Amino acid sequence: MRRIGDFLSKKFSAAIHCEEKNGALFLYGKVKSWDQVVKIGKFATRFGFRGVVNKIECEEAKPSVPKVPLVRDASLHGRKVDVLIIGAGVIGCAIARELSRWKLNILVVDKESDVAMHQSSHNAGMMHPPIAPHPKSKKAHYNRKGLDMVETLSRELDFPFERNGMTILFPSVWYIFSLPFVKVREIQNRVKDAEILNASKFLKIEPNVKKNFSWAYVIWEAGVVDPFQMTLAFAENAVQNGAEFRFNTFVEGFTVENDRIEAVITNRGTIFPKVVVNAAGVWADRIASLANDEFFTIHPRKGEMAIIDKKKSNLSRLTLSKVSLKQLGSITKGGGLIPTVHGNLLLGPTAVEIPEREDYSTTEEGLDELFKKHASLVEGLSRKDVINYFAGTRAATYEEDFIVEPSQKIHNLIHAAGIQSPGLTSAPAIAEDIATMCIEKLQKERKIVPNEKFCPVRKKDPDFKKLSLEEKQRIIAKNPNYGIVICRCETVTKGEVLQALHGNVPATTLDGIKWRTRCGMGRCQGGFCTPFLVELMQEVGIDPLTITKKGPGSELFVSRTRLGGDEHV
Amino acid sequence: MYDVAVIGAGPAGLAAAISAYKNGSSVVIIEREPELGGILKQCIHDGFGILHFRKRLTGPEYAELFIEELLKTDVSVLTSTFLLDVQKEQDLFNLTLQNAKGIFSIQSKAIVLATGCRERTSRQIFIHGDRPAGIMTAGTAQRFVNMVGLLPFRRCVVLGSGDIGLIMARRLTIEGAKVIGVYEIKPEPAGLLRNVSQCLHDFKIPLYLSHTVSKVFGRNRVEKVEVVKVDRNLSFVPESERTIECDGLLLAVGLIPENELAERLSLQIDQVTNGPFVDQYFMGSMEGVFSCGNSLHVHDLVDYVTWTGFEAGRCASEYAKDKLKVQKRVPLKFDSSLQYCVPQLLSFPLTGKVRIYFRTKSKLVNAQIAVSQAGQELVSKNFKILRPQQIEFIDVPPKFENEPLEISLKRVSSHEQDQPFKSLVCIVCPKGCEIELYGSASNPTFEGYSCERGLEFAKQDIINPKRVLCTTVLTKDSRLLPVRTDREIPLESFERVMNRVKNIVVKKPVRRGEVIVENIENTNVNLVATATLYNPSGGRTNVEARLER
Ligand SMILES: Cc1cc2nc3c(=O)[nH]c(=O)nc-3n(C[C@H](O)[C@H](O)[C@H](O)COP(=O)(O)OP(=O)(O)OC[C@H]3O[C@@H](n4cnc5c(N)ncnc54)[C@H](O)[C@@H]3O)c2cc1C
Ligand SMILES: Cc1cc2nc3c(=O)[nH]c(=O)nc-3n(C[C@H](O)[C@H](O)[C@H](O)COP(=O)(O)OP(=O)(O)OC[C@H]3O[C@@H](n4cnc5c(N)ncnc54)[C@H](O)[C@@H]3O)c2cc1C
Repeated sequence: MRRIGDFLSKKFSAAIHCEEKNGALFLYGKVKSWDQVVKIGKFATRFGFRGVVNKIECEEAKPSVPKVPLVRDASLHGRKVDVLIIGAGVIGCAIARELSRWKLNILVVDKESDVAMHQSSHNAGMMHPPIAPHPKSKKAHYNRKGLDMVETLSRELDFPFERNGMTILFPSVWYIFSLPFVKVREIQNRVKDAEILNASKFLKIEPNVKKNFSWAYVIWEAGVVDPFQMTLAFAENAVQNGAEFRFNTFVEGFTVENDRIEAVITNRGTIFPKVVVNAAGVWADRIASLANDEFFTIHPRKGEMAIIDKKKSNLSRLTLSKVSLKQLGSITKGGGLIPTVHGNLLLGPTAVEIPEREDYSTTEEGLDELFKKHASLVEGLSRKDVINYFAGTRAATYEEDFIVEPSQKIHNLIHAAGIQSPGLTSAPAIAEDIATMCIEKLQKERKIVPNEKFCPVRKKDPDFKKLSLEEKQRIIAKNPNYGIVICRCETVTKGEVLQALHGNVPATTLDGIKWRTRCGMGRCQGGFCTPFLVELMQEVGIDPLTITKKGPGSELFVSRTRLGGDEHV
Repeated sequence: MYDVAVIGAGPAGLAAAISAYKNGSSVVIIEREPELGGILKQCIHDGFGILHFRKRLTGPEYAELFIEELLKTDVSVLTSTFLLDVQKEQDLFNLTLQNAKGIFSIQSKAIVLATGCRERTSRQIFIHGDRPAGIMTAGTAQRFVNMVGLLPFRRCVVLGSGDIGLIMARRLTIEGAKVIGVYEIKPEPAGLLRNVSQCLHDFKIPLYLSHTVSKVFGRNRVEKVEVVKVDRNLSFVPESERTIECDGLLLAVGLIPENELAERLSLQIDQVTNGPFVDQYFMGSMEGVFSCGNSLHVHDLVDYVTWTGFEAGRCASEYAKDKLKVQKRVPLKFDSSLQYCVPQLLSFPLTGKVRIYFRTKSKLVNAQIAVSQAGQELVSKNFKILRPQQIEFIDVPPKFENEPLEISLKRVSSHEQDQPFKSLVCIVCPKGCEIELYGSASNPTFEGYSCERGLEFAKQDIINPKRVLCTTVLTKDSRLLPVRTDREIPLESFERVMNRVKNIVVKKPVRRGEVIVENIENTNVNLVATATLYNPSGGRTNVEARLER
């Protein structure tokens, strides 16, 4: 230990002190910049421990703390459940759905006011082909399996998925030398439907691509989803099959006795679960630490993305990215130009190490980089076409691989941690394995039987937009609300908004409506439809002063202008 | 089947429908919202109609005059109806509509696009930082405050000095919110000078020119914003950042013509105006498609919007009668002193006078604008001052067939004129002269008045400014009724009158102009309703919902 500490201290000219605990390498000390913190953490992975726990502080940044819900009550106090899932991202929701195949008492809690408020909506929506991950990694395994499952799931659960294909453009003929590497990876990771096309052939498929590349590596099995809809679909199907979701519920701590979690302390009271699943995204290490099982550290990696007006959707149908010499070893790490399932284009994401885990702020530099790198892939894209931009933070561990395993120390804790890209793609496969681990643990206490009422098909009103003219007519005749357009940019009807307000996992915020219906996601960014939404929420009995953008604390209004007085005329 | 279909029932669409009808055509007007009037419904302040009616009306008053005129005609009115698609098939337009009755289509010979404009968003001006609640465009805030009765901020910063932002800064102040300041990136205000005077100076709201908001902070709601100075190239001045604690950011950073339909019809769009290229008949690059109002280009005065609507409606009706013949179109030429001009094209054969609306690139003092054709000057017009914020027009009688019109700046005074410190609209008579005050408040000089009474008015304004108070009162069905004082009251009495206004609930149905409170708070003026609370389209949705394919 001393030797590692001395070595690191010398190499990075800082006083670093090490310790081995829980099979992991713990690092302590203080350095100047966040970059250094991350560099040391990454370097330390080569010492062969199960994980690196990086406790090094840094002068320029305070330790990141979670944003906590403002509510506090006892609505969950004393609840006993079979499985408590912490985190309603795509992983937590997919696990809940998988577990709902069994007759169990399942509770999913999330500190935000809706599903997918962290990584699972702030991402690029790609269904990655398994070309990037190292063949021996868990990422490669789950990526392959997950991608194979998505198509069936998208039909059962009715979320938008499209196999649009992905292309990596190689700038010059010299890149031909990387071909054997690509081929080997393709075989090792069992990538399907890949081919290499020369420039002229590829330009026939995508005529708007700039002609400054020499050949194109196309993987046809790649696709895109709406990541929020995918998460919501898992959640709603889980609820339909008996699982329960509670939002604005923050796990504050655990009571651990004899290496077992006896109780889970939240802002809504203490919960008593038999098994706990850690699917807490960027805070998964915090959960592990609270449960006395710290063996990894998340270092958030921010990705900024920009959305392009639908007017330019014709520029590319395939996901495009260009490889540079630097990235040859890690193809597809650089982001690209990605068509979304809704007909926009998405530029990004970038990748920047940052100290703050819930930092969704955007920067001028980020947007600049996106435009420099990706807008130039095609002809005719300018900053004028941007309608929105946003950022997400990836939950990367220093080992840069998924952690999908039962805790080696705490008997009733299971980790689904470090789930960064391609976590969305891998979610269905990860969920299957985690569910199996849960069942194995529960079986030890009692016999777990299948849920006979389980239905894999999500019950849901049809997606109005996708219907034929005749079907639309029929629905409007039955329910005129579907005739009234509320959002002019995305043509969303009153009927669809009401549907979002009354779903299995209903929208409770303005962002919740936006994510479910796309109301406010178009060019005017909600300028015209927000007043209509507020009126509509008033109509269904919601006090407008309680309407929030994204949960308690983000209220839209501060007061009414007229309270009503006693001078009647 | 209709001769003319008008899309949008704001002031432009209303005018177009009325004039097409008066010209003898069968007309349908299609509006997305449940009520007619467009944006004017929420513009409860006064100042509309100075040119057209020679009166200072509020938005609802101005709109209702046209709505009432429209409802006297046989024009078919479709409200809460959304235009999904429009296609030209042979010589007819096929419009696909959606409303509570279903999805159906109607046909027309000509269409008039009067779809208005939308606001630029925080995303389009690339504001960075956190993404909390409390960032709102001025128009959205206007709707919430004036029509729904919800206040979005307690302490806010306004970014951009567009007219709606200035008007909302005043409105929010009257409603009891604190407006910390208006920040404008350019060295000149974007809105009209008189709005700077009436909305900011009157209420002591500071205006910071060459400043912008660079970042927003706040996880849930806006907690603070960072403002920064900019230099001539609009780049941030290093170390000029300052953070301001506030709970909201109001954006008034520009309007963009709403042109999805024009684009769907593949009309050619002018990259400067963001509206379609049109000729003197307001016809776009596709025959039979006309455009007017703010979907053509963003106007500063609603009066111009109405005029373009009248003309576009009349021409659409002529076109439907097959009387509008265009053989050749030639682009107008203009020199580098102008930003743009509308129409952008001149169609031949000529039929008469052409009105050219234009905006200059910079402020020009004592300018003379001339229009010539084939080397011969046709007209020239003198302007005491031309400002980029303001639209002006010049009427031209073109003389030669197939020759382009050329607009040029003939003369401009070289000496830079002083900036007035205040600008007023005289209220002594309906003429409404704009009086500008130069020098300082202690020793002002006055310009722009045309009679002694006007001068007296302006002098009085420095000592005891009086204004019309425009606001709302609650009605028993918890909707808001726009009201105003029927004459000016001293600015200093606003707060007292507002306290009274907040206490009123109107229980009976009222009509526009009806007195709500006589001699309110002993000011010797009455509080009157500025709108009739009735749904003007009731029972007139007489287009049958049928699907023709
Ligand atoms: C910029 C970016 C781009 C990406 N692009 C892709 C892509 O194209 N394709 C792909 O496959 N993957 C992509 N990913 C990865 C993918 O988004 C994630 O792997 C996936 O969403 C992880 O889901 P999750 O459920 O583990 O985490 P999250 O979605 O982050 O969910 C974790 C949840 O836990 C909750 N939580 C945390 N702590 C607590 C607590 N104490 N109490 C209660 N609740 C708590 C949080 O509120 C959060 O909702 C991308 C990621 C990013 C950031
Ligand atoms: C948010 C906002 C606030 C404003 N506030 C002020 C102010 O305070 N003072 C001021 O002087 N000026 C203001 N303006 C400027 C104002 O737009 C003009 O003065 C004037 O209202 C323009 O008239 P118009 O008829 O061109 O457009 P609008 O009044 O906008 O009318 C257009 C109409 O078309 C309808 N429409 C659009 N698309 C469709 C479709 N596909 N199908 C059916 N109907 C459709 C719209 O619902 C709308 O009713 C504001 C503008 C905006 C956008």
